[in-house]
Amino acid sequence: MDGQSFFPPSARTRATSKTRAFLKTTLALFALVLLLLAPVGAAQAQGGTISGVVLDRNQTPLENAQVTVRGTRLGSQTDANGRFRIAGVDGTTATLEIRRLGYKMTTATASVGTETRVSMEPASVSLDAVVITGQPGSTNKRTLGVDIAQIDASSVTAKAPINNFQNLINGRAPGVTILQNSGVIGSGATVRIRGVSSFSLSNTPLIYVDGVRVDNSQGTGPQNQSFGASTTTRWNDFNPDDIESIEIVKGAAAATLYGTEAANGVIQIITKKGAQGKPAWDMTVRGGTNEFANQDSRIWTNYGPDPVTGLIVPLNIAKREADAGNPIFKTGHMQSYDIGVGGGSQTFRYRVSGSFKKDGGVTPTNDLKNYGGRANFTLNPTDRIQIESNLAYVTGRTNLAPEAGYGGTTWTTYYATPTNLYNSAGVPLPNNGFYSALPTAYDKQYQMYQDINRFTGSVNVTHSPASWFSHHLTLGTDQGLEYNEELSAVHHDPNFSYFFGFDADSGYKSVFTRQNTFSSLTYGGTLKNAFSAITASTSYGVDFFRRNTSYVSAYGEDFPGPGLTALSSTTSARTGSETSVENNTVGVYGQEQLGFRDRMFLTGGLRADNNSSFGANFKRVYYPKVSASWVLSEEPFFRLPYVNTLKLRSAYGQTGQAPLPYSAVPYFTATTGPNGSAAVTPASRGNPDLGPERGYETELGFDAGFLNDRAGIEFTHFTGGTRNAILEQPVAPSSGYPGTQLVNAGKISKHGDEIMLRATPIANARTSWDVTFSTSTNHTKVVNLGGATFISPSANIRHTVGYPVGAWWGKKVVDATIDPVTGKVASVSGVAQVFCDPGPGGGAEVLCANAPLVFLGNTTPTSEGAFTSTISFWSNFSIYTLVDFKGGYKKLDGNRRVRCHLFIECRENYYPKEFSPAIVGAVSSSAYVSDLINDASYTKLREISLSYNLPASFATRLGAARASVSIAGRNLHTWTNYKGLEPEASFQGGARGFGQWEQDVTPQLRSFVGTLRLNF
Amino acid sequence: MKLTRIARRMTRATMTTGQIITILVLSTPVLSCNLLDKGLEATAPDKIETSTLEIPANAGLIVNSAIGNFECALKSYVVDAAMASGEFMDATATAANWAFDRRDTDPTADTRYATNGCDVYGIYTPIQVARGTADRALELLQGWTDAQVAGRQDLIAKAAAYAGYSRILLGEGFCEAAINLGPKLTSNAVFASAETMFTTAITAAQAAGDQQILNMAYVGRARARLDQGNKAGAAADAALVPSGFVMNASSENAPTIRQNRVQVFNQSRLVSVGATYRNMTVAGPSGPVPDTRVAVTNAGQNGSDNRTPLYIQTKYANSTSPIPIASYKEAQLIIAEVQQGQTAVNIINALRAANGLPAFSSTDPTAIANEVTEARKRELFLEGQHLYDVRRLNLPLDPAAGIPYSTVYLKGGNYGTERCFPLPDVETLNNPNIGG
Repeated sequence: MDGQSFFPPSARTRATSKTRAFLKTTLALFALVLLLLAPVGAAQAQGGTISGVVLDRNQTPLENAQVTVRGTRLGSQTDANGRFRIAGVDGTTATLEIRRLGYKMTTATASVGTETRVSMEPASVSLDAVVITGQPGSTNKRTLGVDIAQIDASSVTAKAPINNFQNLINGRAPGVTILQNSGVIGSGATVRIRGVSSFSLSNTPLIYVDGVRVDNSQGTGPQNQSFGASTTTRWNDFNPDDIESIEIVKGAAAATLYGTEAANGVIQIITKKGAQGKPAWDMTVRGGTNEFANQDSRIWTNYGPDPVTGLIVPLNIAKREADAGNPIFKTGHMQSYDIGVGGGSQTFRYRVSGSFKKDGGVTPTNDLKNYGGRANFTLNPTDRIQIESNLAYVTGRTNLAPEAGYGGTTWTTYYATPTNLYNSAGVPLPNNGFYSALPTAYDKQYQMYQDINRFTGSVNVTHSPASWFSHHLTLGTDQGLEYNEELSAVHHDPNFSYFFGFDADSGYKSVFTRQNTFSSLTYGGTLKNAFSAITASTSYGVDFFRRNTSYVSAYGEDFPGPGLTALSSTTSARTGSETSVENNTVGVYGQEQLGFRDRMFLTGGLRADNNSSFGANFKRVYYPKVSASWVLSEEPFFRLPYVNTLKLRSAYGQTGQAPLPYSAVPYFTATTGPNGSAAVTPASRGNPDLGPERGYETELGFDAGFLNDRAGIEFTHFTGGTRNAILEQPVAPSSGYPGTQLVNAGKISKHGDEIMLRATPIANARTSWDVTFSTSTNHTKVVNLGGATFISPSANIRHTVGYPVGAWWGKKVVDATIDPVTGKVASVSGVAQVFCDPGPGGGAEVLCANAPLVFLGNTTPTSEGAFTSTISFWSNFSIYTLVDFKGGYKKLDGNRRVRCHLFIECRENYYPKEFSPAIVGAVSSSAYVSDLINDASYTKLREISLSYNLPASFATRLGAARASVSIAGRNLHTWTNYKGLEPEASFQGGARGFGQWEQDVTPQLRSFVGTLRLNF
Repeated sequence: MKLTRIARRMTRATMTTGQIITILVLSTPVLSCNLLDKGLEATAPDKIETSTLEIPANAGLIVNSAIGNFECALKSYVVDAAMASGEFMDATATAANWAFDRRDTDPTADTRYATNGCDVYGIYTPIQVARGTADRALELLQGWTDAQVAGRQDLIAKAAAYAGYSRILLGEGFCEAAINLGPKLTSNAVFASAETMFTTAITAAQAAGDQQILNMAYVGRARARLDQGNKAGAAADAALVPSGFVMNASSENAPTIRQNRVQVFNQSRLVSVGATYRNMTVAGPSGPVPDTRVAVTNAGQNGSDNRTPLYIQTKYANSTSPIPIASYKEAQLIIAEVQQGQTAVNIINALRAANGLPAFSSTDPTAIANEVTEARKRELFLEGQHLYDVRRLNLPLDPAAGIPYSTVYLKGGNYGTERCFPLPDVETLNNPNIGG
């Protein structure tokens, strides 16, 4: 147990001491080196100043362009007005190199003391773009043997109606799949990169902000979908307006240096930094609406017997209410304000920003209000030391609407029934046709919200004592405190008693807090050398990462009366609990990169990790990587018509994912025994041999530019998988232990292709048209399940050897014998004559009672992509459009399940002669799902915007240097064959697990947003 | 500044930049490799490792925990057994509850009865956890000494008695079972194992002078013997149980695992009382009178599926009501079943009188035998006894097999013929001595 056990306390004390000792040693070592080497650095140079502005071809200022003085370490970046300023330049002239994501590297000669004006041309392929993710330090894209996606976030937010971080990514990086789930404001998407990698562990990519790992949890708040499913996400805490760019490491080949836990990829957020110069202010104001588009035509007609006559009658409650001028789902309103200022000198730069956002959903109980702030500082005390700190804070409340398994307005509306219009005597019922309570009653009865207070911060010290050596130390933390509350208060109202019973008569309250602390420390260095045409870059480093999450919860029932809502006012069933989860990782890595004439690069690396979740018998894990890139187009012999840039790349690498904390150790937990006494109960059998899952991947691809880079293509093929995949193997209960035991026994393989096309079909002085098209595929297959043929993580979902991971399985109804009189399924000797697919062996259809479960489809999209278009015209106008699509997967239409299989509200239930025998058979029992699992492929007009840069004279009148306005729409149209309400809607995790299961979920909302941007 | 000057002097005097960098680069991997095996401890304030728990000082805690595990398992077992035997019927829209209510439990697909916790319909795993913890407690206590553990004999008696009762539930509820990752056992083999446990409990309880556990073990062994068909042995043990004895599983309102799940699930509209039990009466001189042993009220509303009429049992008044594990009443009914004749009539009437019900009178052996069976059904209503009576005595299934399941709600299928729960796949697939 040495090094692994979390017992007893004395061991913890020793551990804490060891950890502290490590931190102290590392810090002391770094401080000593800084101290020793600081004098070696020259004092801040004196000299002239170069300043200027960087513009695009439409003469619009470009923010965040990196401007460096060739042959020196001097440099700066442009502010929100495209301006830059570099002091300390020796001589009278200098050559500037200007780099920016999405543009060709540009050089310009600048004279000290005069203004320099630089115009940049967009680049379809940019080999000189700087990449910082997945590398020991920053590097040019040309050196990479892997594909790392880059998103120019500041350009996207400037033109698209981006309302959260996830939508900033959606459709902008091939291989990254965003499954939106719910339209509830404040809810989050499920994010997958290159499909799924794990049977039992998380499939969510890691998030880093400015080099520091932060909380990437999804579905953390009140379970407003029930079945263990929450909709809030920590991904919503990142303000898109604070982000300069995003880099995405997609697979094991590129994520090796992130080690254990990076198997699902890494998303790095690079925040905006201050640019040298006088303070540059920017302000963005947005206002808009959110709506349940076409609710009266999308929400279906239900059927049921008239309570008086018994005749079958229809009810379309959404239309009824809309026709009465009282649509069930209201229009929500949003507004947001962002303001930032950046500036500084060569030795100190800053950017400080603040934001306020209020966003309203389509039910009165759903809205979001938060405040955020960010302060980024960069200090250069000498030209060899850079100290950078990035601090952010966000606080706010998200009020959630109940949906899915919880009920709520969606539930009572979607499943409305004529039987609830009045009783058999014709007396109107309180439900007025709604399935359960009136929507207004739900709004009053259930309140759920989450408060978040989150601080993320990092300090990075980079020291470059020699031209051939630099090293850095990064300290980071992410401290988040969630307060989650669910209240069902007492209402002494007969209708509420009728609707909600105990919940309204007695009431209950549940609260829980989740405090998450991420701490990280990274030290690394790089030594560079050159031998004639060969360059060598040797890097090394050590990472320490700790994640600690503590939960405190309390619950109580029975408020004595209305108005009492405090937990202390509950009078029974009061309980409380506290738990915490801790996980620690230590990793060491080394990398060697060799370059030849700056066009051939060979890289090899190795990382060794240990993790507190590994079993006592598992010591450490090693992850190797090797990659090569070749800029073929720069070879003297290269001659290909129309092709001006061509880079070939290939890579192999491994990474991993640690087991769940404490899963290696057998343990008991506390419980309440007889008469309220103290007791314990077995909780886990443990597994001392448990180690990490090992992701592996080979990547091949190329980047090519055509027609002087007016068109470009990036292509990647990947193949790999997961070895030692962790399976949740059930424990035989006769062992005396409940639950499951994690074992490294599975294997997953996967492969896919990714293509990104960029082109500028039109580019002239007054008009330009930029388009991108991206698409990707991913295919997973279960190779081994430790001897089992399949395992079923949740209802109708199976991991089956030879089939995709987490696929839909069920009995497939193909026919039924129909009673000619009733039109319903005939029965022989009490057995319903419904026939199913006989399974892989083929043959005649068999009675469904005896039929096997068969493969019904993928649960995760196997293809996705997007098309974007930006048309700029008349210098000041631009139209931006994003259309995205997903395909190759199926969704379970739980709304149909409830209506047709359970509540008997479908036309199929009452007019069976209008439908095929297979459909009649399928709806004859809740045991069948084949009619519910349907292709959910779709194409969506996701974003469209029209922007106008106001004339300078107008901006000046507002006291601004620049001003622009835009109007935009989001989720405007969907093309799909999916028969449910919304192909993107789904439970977000919980017991509904792997699959995409739409049941009583709010669809994606249609939004319209107006934006005013000012730069001062 | 002073440090900087010192450092500058040191640097100039002793080291070059290259030397310092070399030291740094070389020392980092050395330091890091050392670190890889240290400093990884993770605290867990809400968990206690098995090896830390199992010490003599924790003997009382270990036995108490085994009792708690059993009580929770029993409450869930009573609910599931009631659904399978017709005492209760499901009233939810949750398909996962329907199979054992419909008596066609699929050992592969239906996981709720197999692996759920005792607060959510689980029975096989909770019973096995209760048995496992009681067995382990007994094993530990038998390995420790009286010097190490005060009151060791009494703890042994308790551990053995609850280990026996866990076996009773396994044997009665499941068609087959396994113990400690062993092979499949028939119910009779499980009852035999239970009888051994009760004998151990009786010996230890006598040594410790614990009359309550002694009586509980007598009733338990009588039940185990009756289940095996050893009627004489059963009656002999039952006769040793004094009047008024009852051993309950206690209940508290919080946490939920301590609640009387029978009352809570019924009150929460998840289950309704089965049709047979809604208006039970007893023949009296002036006509039928309501049977107070099976007191049921019509709630006037539907269950949570909004379709099934809700009938509420009133035997357990609230979530803190205890549930009998063993009682004098049960012992008397065992005697009545074994002895039959006037002895049985006398016992039936004594029990009826205690409930203010008219007396039963008959000399017809068949009528008496039927009345004994009926008395067990009513006296032991919702105590987890009827399911095995249906199997043991081959009583008619209620509702009858083959009729459509839930006519008020499209839950699908017909009532099955199941008289015991199948051994779930979670055992058969993962037990190395069965097939795992």
